[in-house]
Amino acid sequence: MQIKKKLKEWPRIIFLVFAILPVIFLILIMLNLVLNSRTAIHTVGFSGLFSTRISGVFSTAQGLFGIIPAIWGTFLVILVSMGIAIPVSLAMAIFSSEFNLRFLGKGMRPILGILSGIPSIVYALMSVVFAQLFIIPKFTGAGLSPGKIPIPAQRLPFNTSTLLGGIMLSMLIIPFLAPLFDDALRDVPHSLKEASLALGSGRWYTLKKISFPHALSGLISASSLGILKAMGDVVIVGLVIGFESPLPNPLFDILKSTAPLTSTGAGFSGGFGQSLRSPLRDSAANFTGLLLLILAFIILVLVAVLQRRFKKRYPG
Amino acid sequence: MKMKTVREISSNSINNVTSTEMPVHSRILEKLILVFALLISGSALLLGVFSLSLNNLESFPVPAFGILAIFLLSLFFYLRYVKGKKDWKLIIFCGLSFGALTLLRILPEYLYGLNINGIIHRSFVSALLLISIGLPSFCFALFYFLGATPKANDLSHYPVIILPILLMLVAYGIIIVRVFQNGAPNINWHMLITPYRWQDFQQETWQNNWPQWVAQSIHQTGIRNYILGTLLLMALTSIISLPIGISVGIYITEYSSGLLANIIKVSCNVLKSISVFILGLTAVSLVTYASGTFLSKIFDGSFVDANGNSHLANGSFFTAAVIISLLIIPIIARATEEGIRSIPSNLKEGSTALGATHQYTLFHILLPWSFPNIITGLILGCAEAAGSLATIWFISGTGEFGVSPLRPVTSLAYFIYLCRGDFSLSFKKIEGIWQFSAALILIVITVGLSITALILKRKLSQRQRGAQ
Repeated sequence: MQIKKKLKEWPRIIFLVFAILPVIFLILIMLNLVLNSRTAIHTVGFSGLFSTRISGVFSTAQGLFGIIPAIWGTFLVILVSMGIAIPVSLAMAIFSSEFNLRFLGKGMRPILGILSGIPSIVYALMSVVFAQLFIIPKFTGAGLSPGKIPIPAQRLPFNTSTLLGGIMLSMLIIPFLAPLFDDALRDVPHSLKEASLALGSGRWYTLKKISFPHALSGLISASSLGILKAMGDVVIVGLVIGFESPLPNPLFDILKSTAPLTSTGAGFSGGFGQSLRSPLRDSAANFTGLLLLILAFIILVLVAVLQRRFKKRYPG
Repeated sequence: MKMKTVREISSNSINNVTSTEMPVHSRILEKLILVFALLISGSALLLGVFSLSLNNLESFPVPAFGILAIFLLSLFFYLRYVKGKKDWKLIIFCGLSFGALTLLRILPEYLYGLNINGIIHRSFVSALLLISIGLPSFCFALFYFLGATPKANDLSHYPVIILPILLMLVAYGIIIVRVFQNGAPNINWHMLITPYRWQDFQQETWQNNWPQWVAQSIHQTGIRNYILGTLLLMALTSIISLPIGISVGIYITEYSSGLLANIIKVSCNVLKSISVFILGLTAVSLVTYASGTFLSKIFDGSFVDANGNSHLANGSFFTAAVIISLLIIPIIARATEEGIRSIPSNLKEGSTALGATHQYTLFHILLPWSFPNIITGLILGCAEAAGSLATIWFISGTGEFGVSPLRPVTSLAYFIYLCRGDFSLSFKKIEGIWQFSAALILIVITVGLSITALILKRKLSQRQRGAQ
């Protein structure tokens, strides 16, 4: 009788077996990162890992795996890309949710859906176009004759810089971020908006005083997802910014290329080809992956704390 | 009586100010000032946008700022003395544009120093100034042009929202147009059906009963294997991720809502937002662990070269599909969940009331209902799989030894990377011109899939609206 009853539940067991697979995969991924990064921690040590000295791929000094420049590069890339992506996505979200121009506002979501299909390698490929349109005329002194170029500012290699990488990354992020912002703005209760409009305030005032404060916690969590995406991308930053680089001087020089964590890890793991691969380099790459995971976790926790504060202020 | 007269006088004075009883020349002057302010600030804004990429507009910003300042000042005095309204913002922006004017006069043409790795052209500064001063001035001009009503206040904020959207859409347009321009002329039938092969080998021939080895080489260029690889990757990924994704969605919604469901949900969310770089590292580790064991044929992949020797590769299509399906499982799970939750309760209750078991309801009502949702999720996931490079970056090969699940993995995205990265010059010279063609084909595949998913979603929402 018991067995028959159990047998009747066969779909439940099959679904459970399949549904538990992602959890197992996730645990295995994390375990793998921790186990593989042991070698780097043992041989190089934390003092070697958290230093600014990094051996370039083509330099003679090998075995220097300082990732402080990479952490700083991650910060710079996030700063540039989110500095572009957040205002534009917010504008797109406001345009499609609050100011309903008949067909234009409705057309925003499908356009974003189509644009989100463009893969990241295409942005990396077309970064040359933006270098030609924006970086070369503005930042390289293109009009100067070669003799007149001042010594401290050498001509930068025109198609690699943190600024260009951030711009291309923002183009990848916007189709992902704008729908999330749109959803956050649409989640504001209609009764509040309508009460504000009925009391005679305009749409802009309603947006500023009602919709925006109430959607703020949703907007923050959406931005955190955008930041995670910016942190996690490796193709654009690898091909546009570079794989390994020292700390820039001055620190906020986004016209130099400062490789972020992901592309530094990709460089460790043989981003330039299979020949450079070694167990130590692979292990260092795994350590950067682990650090990335920890940073992502810290950001998520911070956002959760922030969200709780805003939820207290604007319940509902 | 006195009170009444005072009221009359005051009402008369107010009526004088309103435009209905204004003299004709004053009304024309008002319109003229407002139209010119609108034109000047709009053209300053346009100038700023264009000087973001053009260097030879350097003679325009200084006079533009001058005229803008004069018109802002005249608008302020007009409002002050004719309408009796003080708008100090106009004065502030007038001062700002005078400041910008003097700053641009002082600046040399090229700025450098502070060890910054670049030589900044003056037009970059002027573009930033023009946009940041021209945009608010345009909004003020629009506000007064539309009659300074609350509705005008709403409408005058449109430029602030529309300008960044337009700039971004133009940027996307430039990218897509450039891909078409560079890629479309190079696409031909020959390139599409020829597989890439670049092999040198020793051919054994028999002459006078003695073996002789002659160095032979096959040098073919084409992108057939990359296209087939992309399609195979999509197919394998969907085969792996479909059952897992659907069961995650069903288990979360139908069978459990307790701790286990929460754990599964959270881990799916983490998988969705985890870095693709970490997944790539996992693929490398998977290949490394498998090599040397009985699984090496499956996970490492193998190929037979032209000499007839068998080699182990860096990673097979199967490995890549397993790793990419981790990205796609959350998408399908979410779609399934949405589909099941969107079912009208009367359908489900009707099935239960007629005596159907839970299983029967699941397989005959819920799954058919959410089938279009699942397909939409699957299509979006396929688009993701086609474009994903980071996951297969470290394990890919060129795919010249055939495309099948246990051969080295390759895809169009990796081909574009091969053309970009300076691997070998010969490869780049011959196939480098095709990187844009490959990008075009890739965009057509992924964007086509996204559009299909969008259309399907729209059809779906119509059906659901019809059911309710």
